[in-house]
Amino acid sequence: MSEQTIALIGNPNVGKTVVFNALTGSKAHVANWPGVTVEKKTGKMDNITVVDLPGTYSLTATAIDDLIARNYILEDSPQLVIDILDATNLERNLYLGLLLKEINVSVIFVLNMMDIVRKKKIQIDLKKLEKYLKSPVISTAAINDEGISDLKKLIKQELKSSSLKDDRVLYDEEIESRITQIKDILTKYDQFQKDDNLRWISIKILEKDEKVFEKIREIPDGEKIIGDIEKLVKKEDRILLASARYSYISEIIKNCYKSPRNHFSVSGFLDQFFLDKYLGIPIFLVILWAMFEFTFQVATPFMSLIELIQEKLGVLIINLLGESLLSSFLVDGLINGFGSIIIFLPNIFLMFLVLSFLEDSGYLSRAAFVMDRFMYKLGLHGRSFVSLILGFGCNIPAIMSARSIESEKDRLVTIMINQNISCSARLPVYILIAGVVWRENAGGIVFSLYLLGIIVGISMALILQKFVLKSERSLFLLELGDYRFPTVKYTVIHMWERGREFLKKAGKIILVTVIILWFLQVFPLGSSPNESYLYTFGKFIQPIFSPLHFGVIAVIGIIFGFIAKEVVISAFALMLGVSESLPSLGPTIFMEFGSSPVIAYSFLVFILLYTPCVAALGTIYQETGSKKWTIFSVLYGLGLAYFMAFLVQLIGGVYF
Amino acid sequence: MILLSELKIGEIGIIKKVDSDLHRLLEMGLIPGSEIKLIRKAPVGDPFEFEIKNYSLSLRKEECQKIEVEIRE
Repeated sequence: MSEQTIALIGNPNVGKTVVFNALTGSKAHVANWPGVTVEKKTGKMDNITVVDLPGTYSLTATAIDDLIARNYILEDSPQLVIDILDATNLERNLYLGLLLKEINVSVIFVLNMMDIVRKKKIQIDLKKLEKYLKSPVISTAAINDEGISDLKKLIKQELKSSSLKDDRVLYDEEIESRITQIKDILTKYDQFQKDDNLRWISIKILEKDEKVFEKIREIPDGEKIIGDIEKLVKKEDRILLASARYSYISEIIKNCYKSPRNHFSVSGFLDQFFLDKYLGIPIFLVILWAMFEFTFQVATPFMSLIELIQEKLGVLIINLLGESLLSSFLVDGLINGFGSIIIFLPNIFLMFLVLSFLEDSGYLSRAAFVMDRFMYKLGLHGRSFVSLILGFGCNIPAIMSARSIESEKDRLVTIMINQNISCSARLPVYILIAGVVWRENAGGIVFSLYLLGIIVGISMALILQKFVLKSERSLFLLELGDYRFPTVKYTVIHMWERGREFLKKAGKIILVTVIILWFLQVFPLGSSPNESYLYTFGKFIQPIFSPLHFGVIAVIGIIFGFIAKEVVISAFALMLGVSESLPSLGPTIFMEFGSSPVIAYSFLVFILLYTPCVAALGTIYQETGSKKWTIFSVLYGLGLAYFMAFLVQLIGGVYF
Repeated sequence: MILLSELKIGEIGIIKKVDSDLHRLLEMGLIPGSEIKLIRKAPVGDPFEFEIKNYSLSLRKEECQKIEVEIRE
């Protein structure tokens, strides 16, 4: 017997992930859908493969999530589609249900959130609903595991009964007659005779679906078919079909659904504050600040602990093995390599703890509502704002948080400009060099760098959208669902999945890079720091930087900074052969910039803007799933850093 | 008839005209005949929050200008 596959579909925020976890025991395999940065989750329910489709409201050709979902159902032909509906909001949720009924696929309807339905004293007649939808209907409260075992039973039962049923939902006669006429035209052609989705194709033709038209054009008689068909399509068919579906839904609601008039809504009450004209933005900023503080303050002791363990482990190994190549490899290569990955985990875990709390509670969509106007000016979505602000702490969780942005273009731009936001790892470098060069004025210099990062980020956003990602501005459709109190279980699952992904995917790239750098630094054996491959390499590429007047050690610092930007300082310490303390390093460092404040500043600008650290790059690769964008990130970072540093020197009068 | 963007807070409009290019909005329930109520505007005046088909949907002014409504008395 071939492997059985079922697909979960549903509107966003209907508890689809919860149902998925309940069915599969949350051992999900997370990847991206081919070619796009949309998450694809698969899991196993016994021996049945369960695919989690992106949350969608409809199945149009214009939204990427819609396309993924419908292409999967049409082309990969899962044996069964499970449509999860928010039972408290059936009217809109049923729309997707009717769209599914237009496709030749078996569907089970799951009315989720029955716990809230009971609380709101809503009455739903499941038996009648089944008659209207001509498919099995079952109710669950997945968050409490209620109804899940019945759902599993129903799934297995439906998979066994493979008999074709007459389960079409019909619209009014006028539309149905034109659907039939289009079907009749199509069946004259070989390509369509065997197609069992002719009804769906015909409906999509009425809706002027560009992807369906593209497909028809590809076949030999395509243009002729289109000529024949177009006579049957009316200008307002999209409106007629949407109206036909909603009027069928109204009939269902009238007969199956009773909701008492709502006297008081907690969400409505809370939104009076959270979305208030005057309080909305301050409350958002306070929440953001608290999130930032929580993430980075709580992470700090954990990070120190990791560093301490790393250090103790190093000492232990050197005590055991003595100073040797092996111990150097273990300590400087492996342990430091792992250390530079694990050090980010507290940040990532904590940030996702807060973020999934905000997301699941319903506040994150409010934040997007409050901030959208500002991001709109940059051609981005309100949600991008949160991601960019998080970048001030660490670009890695910030880049990962861009996942909550629905539009692929907005997500990519948000990821790409994140590296210009000055993360906390760059601060020690600023403090060191600015402290040495400007002493009491260092604060202003550091602030100017942060500001520059923001300005460059904004400019990049505009440039990227003007020249590189020239897609249409994405439609802003934001549902402000009811506030909910997130469960500990799902908040933790959410957090764990993200952290695990970072370890698994980005981790590999980081580890390899760190080991390569260790090798370059240690070999040839027995050499002094000035004879290592790394120094030779630094000297070799230094001429590239000579127009910027950076010394060899500064260049090596830049190479080291690739591991993590704060390591730039260690490079100075290592190469200059002094212990890593500010005062003793100061004047020697300044010499690296020809003792010119302008050159020193241009170096800091370079540090701010160049290629993100390898961990961030690993994350970019993991999130975009694209080598092209990862390389682009490296190249534009380097190019921009070089150009801006040069510009600083030009304006600063270094060349005159 | 007025534009959806001209609706005042608390007012309910009945949708009269939607551009068929706004396919996704149609599918979200913004079809001729539907009632739509403006709940609030974001602190900086855009986007808007509406109640439609018993749920809460937020749209930008830009899109609201492509939809015509009649105020329900």
